[in-house]
Amino acid sequence: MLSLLPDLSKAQRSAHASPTSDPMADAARKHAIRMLTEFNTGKVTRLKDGRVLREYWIDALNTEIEVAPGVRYAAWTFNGAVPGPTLRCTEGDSILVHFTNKASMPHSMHFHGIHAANMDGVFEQVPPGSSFDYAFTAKPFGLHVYHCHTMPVKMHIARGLYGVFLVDPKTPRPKAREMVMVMNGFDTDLNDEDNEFYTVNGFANVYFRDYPVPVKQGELQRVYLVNMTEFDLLNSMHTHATFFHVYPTGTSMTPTNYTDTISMGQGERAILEFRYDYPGRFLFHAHQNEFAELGWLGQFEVKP
Amino acid sequence: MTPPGEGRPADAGPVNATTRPSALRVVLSGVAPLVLVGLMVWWFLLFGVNYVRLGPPPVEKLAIERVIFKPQEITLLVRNEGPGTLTVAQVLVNQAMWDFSITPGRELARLQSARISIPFDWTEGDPYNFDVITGTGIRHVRKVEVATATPSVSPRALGVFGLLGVYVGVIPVFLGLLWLPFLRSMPRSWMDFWISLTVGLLAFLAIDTFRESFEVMGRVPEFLNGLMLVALGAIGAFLALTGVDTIMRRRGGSRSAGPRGMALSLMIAIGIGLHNLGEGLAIGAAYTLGEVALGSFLILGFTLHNTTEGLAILSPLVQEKVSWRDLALLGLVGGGPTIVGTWTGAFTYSDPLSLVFLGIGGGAILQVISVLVRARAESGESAIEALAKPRNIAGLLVGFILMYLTGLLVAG
Amino acid sequence: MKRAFIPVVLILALAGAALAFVGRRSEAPSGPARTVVLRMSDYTFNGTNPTLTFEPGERIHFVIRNDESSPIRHNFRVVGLDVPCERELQPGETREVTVTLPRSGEFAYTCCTHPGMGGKMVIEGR
Repeated sequence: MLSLLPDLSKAQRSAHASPTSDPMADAARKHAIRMLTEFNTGKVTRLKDGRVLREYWIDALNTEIEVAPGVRYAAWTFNGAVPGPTLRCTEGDSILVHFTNKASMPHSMHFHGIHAANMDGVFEQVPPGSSFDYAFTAKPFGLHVYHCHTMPVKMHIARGLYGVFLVDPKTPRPKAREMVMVMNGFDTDLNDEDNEFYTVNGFANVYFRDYPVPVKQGELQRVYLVNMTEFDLLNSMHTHATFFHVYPTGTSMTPTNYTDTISMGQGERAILEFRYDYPGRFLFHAHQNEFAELGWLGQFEVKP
Repeated sequence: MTPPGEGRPADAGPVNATTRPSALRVVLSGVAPLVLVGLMVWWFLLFGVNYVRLGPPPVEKLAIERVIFKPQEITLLVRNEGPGTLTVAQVLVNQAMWDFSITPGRELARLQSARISIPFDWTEGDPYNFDVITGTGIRHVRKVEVATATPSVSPRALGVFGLLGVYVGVIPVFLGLLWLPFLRSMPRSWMDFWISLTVGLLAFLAIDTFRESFEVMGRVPEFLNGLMLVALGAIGAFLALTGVDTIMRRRGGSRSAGPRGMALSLMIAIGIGLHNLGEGLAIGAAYTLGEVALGSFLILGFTLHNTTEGLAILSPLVQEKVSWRDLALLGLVGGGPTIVGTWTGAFTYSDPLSLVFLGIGGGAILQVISVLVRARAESGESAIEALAKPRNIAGLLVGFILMYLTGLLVAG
Repeated sequence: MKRAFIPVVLILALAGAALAFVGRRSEAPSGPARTVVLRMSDYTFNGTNPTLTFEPGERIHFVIRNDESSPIRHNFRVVGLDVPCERELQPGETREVTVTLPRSGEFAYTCCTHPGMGGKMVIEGR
C-alpha cells in the first residue's frame, strides 16, 4: 500500500547525494588537491620585441560548490572553483587576460601589481555577458593576488572571486617543491558578517582528512601562502615541528623572518620555505584555533 | 379500524424508517467528499507539485528540541520544522566542527526528527552552544546555559525528583493547612476576607501560569500552534471542572447554592493541584534543560510561595467541621501532582506537553475563581458588586500581593 | 470522597503514559553476525579510514586490532551505537564487539585518543 503513496521526500528533494557518493564534494576535494601544485602559465607566444606574451582566459561564473562535507554554497567563481586558477608568469612578461563575465552580476578583475589605471579593474566594471581584456606588464616580481572589485567588494570577495597571481623573478628561485595555499573563509548562511567555515584551497579539512600532503623528508618546500579571508581581521599559518623562512609578498630574495607562525591581514601574502627533518605526520593550521576547528586544518605526511 | 388504502398497516414498523435515509446512505454522504479530497491531495503530490513552482526554495527551519548530556557524549534531538526537506551536514560544538552520528539519516523530511550523537567530553556546569549546519549552509543554533547530566529513569533519579516534588509541592501545601486553627480563631465576619484573599491568590496564580506559557510558546514550533494548546488545556479544564461541580451539586441535593465547605475546598485543591502539576513540570524541566542551577535558595523560594496555596484551600473550611483525613486528602490533592510534574519534566519533558499542562492549570484555577466569586455574591448581587465591598477588595489585594512578594524569592 | 480521586487517577494515568514513552525501545532483528576487521596503525583505521556501508538491521562482529607494527596505543568507539571507549589497546591487542545495527543512520567510528583517526559507518535504506 505504501508504494501507492507518492514519495514525499522525492517530491521535495533538491540536488542531493547519498552519504557514500557526493560528486560535488569529490569535485571540491579534487580541486583542492590539484590546486596545491597546479600553476597556469597561460598560452605563450613571442612578441616582436622578443618579450613573452602570456594569454589567459578567465570566466566569471555562478557555481554551486561544496565547502565542507555536505555543505553547499552558491559561489561566484573564476573558472568554476574557489579559489580561482593560479596564474604564473615571469617579471617583465606581457600579460593579456581575456575576462568574460558569464555570471549574473557585474564583475571585474583587479590585479595586485603595477599597471595603468584603466587596467585596474575598478572603474571599468564588466556587466554580465560582456568581456574585457586586461593588458599589463608583470611587475614587480612576487606573490600577488587578483580578485573582483565590484561593490560591495567584501561580498564579491567573500563569494569566491579571487585567485593567486605569481610573478617569478627573472633569476628563478632555488629549486624546491612548490605549493600554493590560499587561506579563506565561507559565510555559508550569507549574513555578510561572519564565516561559518575556514579552509585552505576551498574545502574544509581537506588536507587533514582527505589528502594528507605528502612531503619528502629533508627536501626544500616552498609554500606560496595567501590570505583572502573576509570578515576576520587576521588569519595565520602555523607549522608543527619545523620553522620556515619568510619572504613577505615574495618581493625580495632575502627572508626577513625565521618562525613557525605567521599572521596576515586580508590581501597579504608571503613565501615560506622550510624542510622537515623527521618523518611522520605533522599538522599545519591557523593558530587562531577557532579557525582550525572550523576547517583550516591540514597535515603533512613526511616520508624518507 | 383503518380503511383499506389509507394509513399504514399496524405492523409496518416505526414511521421514521421510511422517511429518514438509511444508515448506509448517511455514511456514504459523509465519506464521499473526504474520498474526493483525498484523491485530490494524492494527485497533487504525485503530479501537481511540478506545476506549482513559485519563487525560491522555502526557508529552512531546524529545531534542536532537546540536548541530552551523557558521560562523554552529547545527544541532540532535532526536528525539521520547515516546509521542505533538509540535510544535516555539519555539527558544531562551541564553534568547532565535530564528528557525529545521526539516525535515521542526514536527510529529514518535513516534521521528521533525528538523533545526533556527538562524542564530546563536556564539563558539568559549563555553558555550551550547538550549531547544526544544513546542506544549504544555514546555521541552526541552541544554547545550553548550564550543562547537567540528563537523568535517566532509575530508582535513584525517581527518588530524587520525587523528593523534589514533595519538598516543593506537598510539604508547603500541608504547612499551609496548619493555619486552620488560626483562621478559626478569627471573627466570623472575616470569612469574606479569607475567601477574597483566596481569590486574589488564585488570580495571581492564573496570570502567572499564562505568563509562563508565553515563554514556552516561544520555543514551540509554529505549526503546533502553541497558543491553541494552552487554550485547549484551559478550556478543557474549565469545562471539565464545571461539569464536576454540577454533578457534585446535583448529588449533594442543593441546586441553588454553590458548593460549600469541603466540596469547595476540594475544588480549590484540585485547581491548585493542576497548577502545581505545571509548576513541577517547569522545575523538573528547568533542571534537566540546564537552565537553572537548582540552588537551595530557589527551592526555598518555591516552598514559601506554595505555602500560601495551603491557605487558599482552607478558607471555605473555617466554619466547618473537618477531619484529619479530609485535611490529608486536601493536602495530597493540592500538592501531590507536583511530583508527577517533576517526574515528567525531568525524564520526558516536551514543550508542547508542558503547554497543555500549563493551560490545564490555568483553566482549572479560573474555574475555581468563578465558583468562589459567585459564592460570595449574595442573592440579587452581581459578581462585580460583590467584589466591590471593602472587605473583599482588601482580601483580594492582600492575597495578590502576598503571592507577588513570595514570588520574588523565586527568581528567574 | 470517591469523586475526588477521579482527577488524581486521571493524572496518574497521564504520568504512566508519559513514562512509558521513556522506556520504549525498537525491536531489532537478529541473524548471523558478519565479521568486519579494523586494523589500527599509524593513526588510521585500515590505512584509509574508510567509509563502511551496511545493510539495515545487520549484526556485525567487529574485530579491532592494534597493529603491532607501530608502537602506539589506540582505542575504539562508535558513538550512537553503544560502543563506548574501553581500555586502551596495546600494539598487538585485539578487541571484539558485536553490534546490532538499526534500520538506518550514519555513525562516526573514532579512536578515542587520536583526533582525526576515524571514519563513517553508513547504513543504507530506511
